Amino acid sequence: MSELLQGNRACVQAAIASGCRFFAGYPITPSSEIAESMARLLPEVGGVFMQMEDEMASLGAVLGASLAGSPAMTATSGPGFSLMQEHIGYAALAEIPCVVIDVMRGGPSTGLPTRPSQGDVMQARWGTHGDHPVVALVPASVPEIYELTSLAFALSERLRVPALVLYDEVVGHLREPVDLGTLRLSRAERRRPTVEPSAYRPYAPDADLVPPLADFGTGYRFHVTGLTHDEAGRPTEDPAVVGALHRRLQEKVARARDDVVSFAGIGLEDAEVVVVAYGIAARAAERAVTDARARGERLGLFRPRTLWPFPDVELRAVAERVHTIVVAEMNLGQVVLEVERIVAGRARVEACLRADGTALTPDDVAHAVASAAGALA
Amino acid sequence: MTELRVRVAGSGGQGIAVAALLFADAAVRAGLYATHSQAYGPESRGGASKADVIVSRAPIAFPIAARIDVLVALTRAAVERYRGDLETDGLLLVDRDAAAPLDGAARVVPLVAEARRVLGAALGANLVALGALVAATDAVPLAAVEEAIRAHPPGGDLERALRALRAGLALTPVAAVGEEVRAG
Repeated sequence: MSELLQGNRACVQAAIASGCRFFAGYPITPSSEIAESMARLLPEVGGVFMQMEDEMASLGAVLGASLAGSPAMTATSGPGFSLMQEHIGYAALAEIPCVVIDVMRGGPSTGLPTRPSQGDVMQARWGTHGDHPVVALVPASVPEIYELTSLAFALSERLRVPALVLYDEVVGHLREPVDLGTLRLSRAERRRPTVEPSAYRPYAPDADLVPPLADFGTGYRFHVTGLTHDEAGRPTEDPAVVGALHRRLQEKVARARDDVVSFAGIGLEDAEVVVVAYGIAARAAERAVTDARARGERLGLFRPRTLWPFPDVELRAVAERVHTIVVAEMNLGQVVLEVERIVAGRARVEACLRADGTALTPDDVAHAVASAAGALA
Repeated sequence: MTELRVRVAGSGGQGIAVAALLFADAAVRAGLYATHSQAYGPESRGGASKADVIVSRAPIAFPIAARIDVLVALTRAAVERYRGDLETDGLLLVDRDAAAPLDGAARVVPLVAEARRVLGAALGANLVALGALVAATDAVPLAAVEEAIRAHPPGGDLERALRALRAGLALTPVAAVGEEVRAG
């Protein structure tokens, strides 16, 4: 049975259904419905909602709850996402599972509080300093917010990484029919130690390069630090240990790649021109692609559901057989840089950009495709 | 016509998004596809507010309407900003206080005045507008609209909400815009 559900509320329902029992946040447009719904729904399932004094404290509280054993998340928008970068790095290095939702609005700074953008996508990859693993998912619809929020929890718990879910204001506030009973929930428990507390080495990885994580308060005493550390959790500057840690943090995500990376496509089998787009821009592109194909034009859509890591092998395979790739996004050109890097000359790469506080439209995409095709002729 | 594109527009605090939401919710309850997307300024009161509802017999790829079949305008600014997006045979439902002589084919209805008359306050003009919209289009059955209101009574006052809706229904003669959407 379908019901009309808002994107931000679908996010909350998915989080709770996926085991989230702690939320700390500082409400900010256009993510506020997430905090509002969490405040109402978490207590009903025995969970805890905390409104914090700011976004740094919010993610700090989430990390504490997570170390105590609870799947936990926070939600914010650009200004708060900037403030959270420090703790995202801490979570990456200390390997603390957490989910961060960023409902993107126009930036930089306070920017356009109620208007959409996709300007945070490179910040999601590189916003915190230092090399670090990151998982960032980019849903384009209300049902997909539900499924990818759930996947974010599963990946975060399994890989002990911060998992980010990024979507623009339009998708966050969009209401559309959803039949929750038909949607997929992802399940993954974090692995806990099986050794005695005295033998526990908190950063000694298992075969999948992920160390088991003990819940605080269960007798496993260990040191959690933002300093680079050894397998016992003690700070170290030993180059061999430091280098091995950084490589392991990257490699644990790389090894799980096939469970992390996904994309959706339309017409990729015969397309001559392919649009790459995510979030609401992908829905503008979907409309443009469907209309063009109805006219017999060989246009396709490549829609990443995972932005980081990017579906690079899959896009490269597409690039081998098309003339042109048009990247449509609501910023002044961010993911297009990644696409150029991946395509590396196999096809022409053009950008279709909008950064004026309104959503990219099907006409924008159609015009960009027509002008790319005109340049070919 | 396989889809009906409706924009409700006015000023922040008038319940623009709520009126549009109830229309979309009713469409889904009637077994149709519908999307509701909204745009508003940073002010909690005042500033421009609009919501688009697309009702269709098929899934909707892009939820923001470039061209619209119906514009329900509660302010003069909304008329001026969006009437250019109306299809040439589209319907402009405009509040009497926001209408101007140049509106031509517009259907001028006393939305705010009716809210004042039946509810004693301008607050509720959004539900009068919803009633006028339901009567002026034939995409979404009234029973489904009432069901949506019962499920989420605005302001928590069902009787008051239904009174405003009925006042709106009486304002416009039944028209056939969007009939094909409902009929399939």
